[in-house]
Amino acid sequence: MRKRFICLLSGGIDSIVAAWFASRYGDIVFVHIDNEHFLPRGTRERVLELAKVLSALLKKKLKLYFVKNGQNIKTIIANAPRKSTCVLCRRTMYRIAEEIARREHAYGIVTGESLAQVASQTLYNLVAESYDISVPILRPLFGLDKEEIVVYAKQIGTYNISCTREKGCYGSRGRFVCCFATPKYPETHASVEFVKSVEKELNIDIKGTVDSAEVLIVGE
Amino acid sequence: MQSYDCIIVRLGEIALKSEQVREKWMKIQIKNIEAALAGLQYKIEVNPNRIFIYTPEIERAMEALRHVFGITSLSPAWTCFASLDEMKVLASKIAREFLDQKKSFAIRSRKAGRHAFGVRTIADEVGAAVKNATGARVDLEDPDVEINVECRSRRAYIFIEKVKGPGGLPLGVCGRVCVDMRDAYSLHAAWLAAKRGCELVLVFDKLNDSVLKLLERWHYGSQLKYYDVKRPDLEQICMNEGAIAIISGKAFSRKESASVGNIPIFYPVLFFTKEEIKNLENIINS
Repeated sequence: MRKRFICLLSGGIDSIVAAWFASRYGDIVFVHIDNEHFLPRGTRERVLELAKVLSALLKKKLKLYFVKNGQNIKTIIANAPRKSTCVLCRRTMYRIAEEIARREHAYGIVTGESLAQVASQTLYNLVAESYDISVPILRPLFGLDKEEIVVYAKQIGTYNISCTREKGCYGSRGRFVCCFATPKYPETHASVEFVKSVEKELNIDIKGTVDSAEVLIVGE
Repeated sequence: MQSYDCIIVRLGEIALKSEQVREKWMKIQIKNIEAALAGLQYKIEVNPNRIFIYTPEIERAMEALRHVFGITSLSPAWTCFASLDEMKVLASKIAREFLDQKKSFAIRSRKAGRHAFGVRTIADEVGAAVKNATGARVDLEDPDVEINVECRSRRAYIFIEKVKGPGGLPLGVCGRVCVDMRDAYSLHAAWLAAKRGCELVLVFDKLNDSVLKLLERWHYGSQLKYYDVKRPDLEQICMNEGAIAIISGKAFSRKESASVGNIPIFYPVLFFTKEEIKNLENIINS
């Protein structure tokens, strides 16, 4: 039997390439964690477009979960040190993906992380964020540079969609903002102990979050 | 042939980092470069995303630097004082070895710092001098030879060749990992982790000397440690070595686990095709 992977899809360049890598060895189910008003406009449309490209490429209908996560991000910002927002956000994504993996009988979680590409993806952070997640987190792009990922994205035809920008997505210095919840100085040295203890206090309802997800079938 | 006197080293992702991170990483990058050049005679000059190495031993330095992570490309270069006259003389001398009447060329000029002339003037004047000296024709679209002239405040650099570096991040910036050397593609996985800045501790159950030698060549900046034990306890070794993750070189096998005890496992080559593995191997062996 072919294995099933839960592929986290952000709408950016990397995650769809990671999903494509995974599709070589199994069936994929997309999950988009929707941080709602913390995300720039047009993110949802971009995610849908990207999922369609892969569906066409694989000649298969694909399942796509939209999981509303804005409330959880608010909880995190309000109750945890501001600099650790990204760590706890990613942690929440893993836990949501873990819950969906359980419901979908999936074998692993696939993400577009490339080591140390951004502050939230340092080795220390990835280790702390993955603590005690019962499903293997598989990172096809772990050892690749951005430049190499872009080559793949262009090959499979997702690059231009990932780079679509709408008005109102630019920050103070004219740089594209992919999430408005990102603190100025994000944590780069998170520890397992920190994640463990804060998580207990935050008490985020993962099951409830997944229950209210919207599930679409993409393609054809 | 006019001999090279400098190597231009170009860096990749480090340039995109915040100022504090860049400063910290740059120190490590320079330490690694100096380790690669140990035993050679050289002088190093550091600019924001470029490093200049002045050395009489260009070939040996190039060979070593080709194996330093964080470097995206290298160019052996000729240098002179940053004046139009000197640039013209030097460019003509070099061009005579690369060009003749049947060939075409283009001058690509860049400039940093204050000079009495602009980039266009450099291209025009140096181009005219080269044309005069060689009889070659100018073709800006598709030239046989591109002559790059970079004029900085005091010195000018002329180069033709650009050699690809391994890219990635400076070795050591991400912390330490243990690599399980018992898997099918452990060498490849180890190399990818090192490329993205991890310092490696190799764990063999039966030491493979050629693999060790191969990875040593890519591990400039810190001693490559290894264990050779029958039934290694990876979790214990990680704790002893201060390693925070395990790297596995498994190919897709349908039974990956998330961690060994409390230490998470990463699988850098899990979804690679045979062909991608082969390409990677060629780079590692080069």
